[in-house]
Amino acid sequence: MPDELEKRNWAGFAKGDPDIWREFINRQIPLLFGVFMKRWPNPSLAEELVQKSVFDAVRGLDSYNPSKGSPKEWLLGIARNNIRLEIRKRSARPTANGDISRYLQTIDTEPLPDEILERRETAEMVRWALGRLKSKEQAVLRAKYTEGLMAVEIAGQMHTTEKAVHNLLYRAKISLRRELKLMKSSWMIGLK
Amino acid sequence: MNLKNDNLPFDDSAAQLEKNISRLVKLADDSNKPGRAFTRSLINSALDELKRPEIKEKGITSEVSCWKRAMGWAAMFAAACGAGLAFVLSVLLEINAFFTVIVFFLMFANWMTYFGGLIL
Repeated sequence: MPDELEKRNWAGFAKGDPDIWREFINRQIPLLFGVFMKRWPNPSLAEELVQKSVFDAVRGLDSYNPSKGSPKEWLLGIARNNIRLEIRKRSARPTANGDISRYLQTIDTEPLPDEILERRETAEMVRWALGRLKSKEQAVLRAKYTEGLMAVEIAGQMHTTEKAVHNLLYRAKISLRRELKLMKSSWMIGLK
Repeated sequence: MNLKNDNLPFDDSAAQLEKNISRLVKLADDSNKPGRAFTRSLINSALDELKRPEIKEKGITSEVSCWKRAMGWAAMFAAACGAGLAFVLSVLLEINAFFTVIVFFLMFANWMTYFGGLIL
């Protein structure tokens, strides 16, 4: 049973109180991320779905009724709905299957299919390819894409200039692409 | 715009590579938690969205649309009663019922279309 304070929070949430919302979203983002990751182990897709669910909640705020349940249950309902939408979207498009290396060949021209990204094998290949890069290149790629830092923040961390970070990032991307493509060749040789 | 030998505009190619690299590097991370920067940026943009007047006024507009809907139903009911009454009176006063029915049917249909549009 929710106590009085909790119910007052629910009412504040329904009215769009920014402080209550800030605390609420901050607590719910990791939870939603976990829900989506459990369904599809693909961090980019999980981020996309978390973002969609939070914005659906903000835009559909007038449909929240505190007497029907907590904001958390309501948000989880929205997330479940987004999972159903994603399943429907996937069933309407052709399934990507076959050799990962075939998709890595067109890495600069075609988007990598979600089904390929969700394979454990793909994550292992990327870890291996990243491990072959220079430590600075690995660090800049992780800072930019995993931590989501901006070039200026990375420059601060690395004690260098923003321009140097951009150059390093460019070189790191090219190196990673090369390693992934080389891996493709060794994979093909291994198959023969 | 530079063209690479694969005939794809360089900007598009660079953007696609950037997107794919981003998705791949994220895969390499074992953590089951979203990045701090992502969380921070999502909270800020959600709060900005919450502050937008359209979101704030949603409660008020839904009340207004409720009134509009009620008025629509009431007006449709009144138009239907009016048409029925006109038909009964025309029979009782021995007026040419056929023409009266046509006139009131047209009137009724117009009102139904207008208020039906408001309700839906």
